[in-house]
Amino acid sequence: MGDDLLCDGTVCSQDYVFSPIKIGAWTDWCSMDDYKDMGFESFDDCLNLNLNLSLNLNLDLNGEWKDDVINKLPSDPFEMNVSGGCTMIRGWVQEVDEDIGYVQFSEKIIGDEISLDDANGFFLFDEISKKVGSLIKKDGDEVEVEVGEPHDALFLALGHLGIRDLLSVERVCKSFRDGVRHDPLLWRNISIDQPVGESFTDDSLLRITNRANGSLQSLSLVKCLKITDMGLKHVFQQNRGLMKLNVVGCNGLSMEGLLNNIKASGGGSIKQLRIGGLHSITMEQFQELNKLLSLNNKNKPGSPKPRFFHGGQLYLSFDDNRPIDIEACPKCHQLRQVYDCPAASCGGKHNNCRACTFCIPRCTSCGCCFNERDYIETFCLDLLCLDCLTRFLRFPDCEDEDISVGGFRQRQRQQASYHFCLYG
Amino acid sequence: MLKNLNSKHIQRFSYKYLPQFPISPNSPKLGFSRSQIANYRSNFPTTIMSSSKTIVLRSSDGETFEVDEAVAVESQTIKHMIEDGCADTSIPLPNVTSKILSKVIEYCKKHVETPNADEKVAEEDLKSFDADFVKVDQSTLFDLILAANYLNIKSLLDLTCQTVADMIKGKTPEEIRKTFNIKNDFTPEEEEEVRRENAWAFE
Repeated sequence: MGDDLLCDGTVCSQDYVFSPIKIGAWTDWCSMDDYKDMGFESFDDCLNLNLNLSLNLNLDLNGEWKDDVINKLPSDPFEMNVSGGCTMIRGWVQEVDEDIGYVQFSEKIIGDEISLDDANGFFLFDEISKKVGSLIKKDGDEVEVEVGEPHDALFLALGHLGIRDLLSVERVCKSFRDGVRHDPLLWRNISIDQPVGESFTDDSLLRITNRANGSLQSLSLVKCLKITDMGLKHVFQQNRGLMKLNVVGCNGLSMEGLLNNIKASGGGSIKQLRIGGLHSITMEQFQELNKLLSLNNKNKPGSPKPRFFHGGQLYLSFDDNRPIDIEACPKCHQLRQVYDCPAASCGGKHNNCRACTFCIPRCTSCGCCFNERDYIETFCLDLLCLDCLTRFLRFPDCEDEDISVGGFRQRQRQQASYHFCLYG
Repeated sequence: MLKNLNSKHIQRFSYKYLPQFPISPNSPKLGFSRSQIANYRSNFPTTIMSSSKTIVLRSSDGETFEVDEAVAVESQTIKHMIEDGCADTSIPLPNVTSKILSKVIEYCKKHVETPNADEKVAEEDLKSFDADFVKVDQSTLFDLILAANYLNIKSLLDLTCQTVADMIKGKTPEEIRKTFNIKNDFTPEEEEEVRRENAWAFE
């Protein structure tokens, strides 16, 4: 009796939708003329159309059907914890099916669009993400996905992870734990940076460096306040090949301890040292350090590249070839970090514009001096030259570290408000 | 270059490239070292040593791929095989399926064709190619990593490993398990022990 015509697009196009007409009004045969215009081919079509309308289904061509209905229906009125609307529709139409008797809900319509291969037709439609997943009815109601051992390729990718991610990976499964712990190649270059370093103790240091099995090459401990000379001594003893050491901000260390450690490992093999100028170092200690480092740096040529001040950079990286990051300031003769000037006007006079930041204040963004330009002082007491300021104001949303000036000290991206005072 | 050919070269040349005559026990051995081959290849004019040579690669499922030598030697493994003289018929790659091998060849072709990335346009074009190249499902990505490792193609290995590393970065162990469908085979005590040992990194 034309069951599938219910969902047939040719009959039920949007043009034909109008207010519901009672099924039983066959006395109105005289007004059949009205129906003629709609192009019904038979009485059956008309009946089906009425049914269609009385069900208030806005059946368009296959595409927009489900969107419309789903929007109109409540998502879970009976608190059955059903996440989608389609199960409701199916259940609901099946009730109609029982009442009327010949309304057949054609599975094919929905099935075609979503292309499920699940025979029982039970599916979930996620309104938000519009993703469809099929519920495989097993004993539980859960979708079962295969879990197992990690793929071999994952172990090759571990080398590209930082320390924190490596430690997360260690907690995933046993094979990862063994893979991470027993692979010395992953632990050759260890870098503990700021937020993590605060709770980094000597024990953790030893445990981590032991994983390198003596092949540790570079160690960077930034603001690791709990590290002591004793801990570092053990590291030196077990890793004779240590070449690069960075202990900026590690206030638990002393200069004598550091010197002793380097000397004790037979002059060692330390080629680059970063101490950041926070330790109080005497001239004798500095000269001794220089001697030790230059012994190990026999092959390196002189004249390192110029070094510019940048507020976001707490310490000189190992990429720069310098053996040590501090030197005697040409102006005040104190042992501090000394910077060159990137400004074109100072470029030629290489020696004149070289000094620590106490002697020559510098712009925190580009590192130029203020000899021939105006500058402002920010709320965080950083200095900005006017070029950088204009750049910053023009692109306030830019997350570039060059431009976000607020909070250089804590390495946080804060939108500080600026207190403008023009100097110079 | 032809004038550099002396009798020594011709003697070696005849042993390697002319039909193999019966060799007496007293004749010199045919074992050339890799550097020797590379050295006298570079001395030979191109009419003898064809630079547009193609190499045939055979995947594990028997499919063959013909590629230019310049593309094939992106892989250090294949390069050494060629230098050692194993590339006469075809090079079998039993660890690589045809699907993965075709992708690897596509990658190598692109990287050989692009000039030395000095121009910004070429560099960006290559970058976008790389970004699209790794937009594949996980199992293909893993197979690409293993293939790049076996074939020793450093740039492809770095690219694919970095992609996987980016999928791991910043995730908790549970999220990592979900992403890669890994089973948690720790006992509660073991899990607690590992968590406690590394707690300093997550405070």
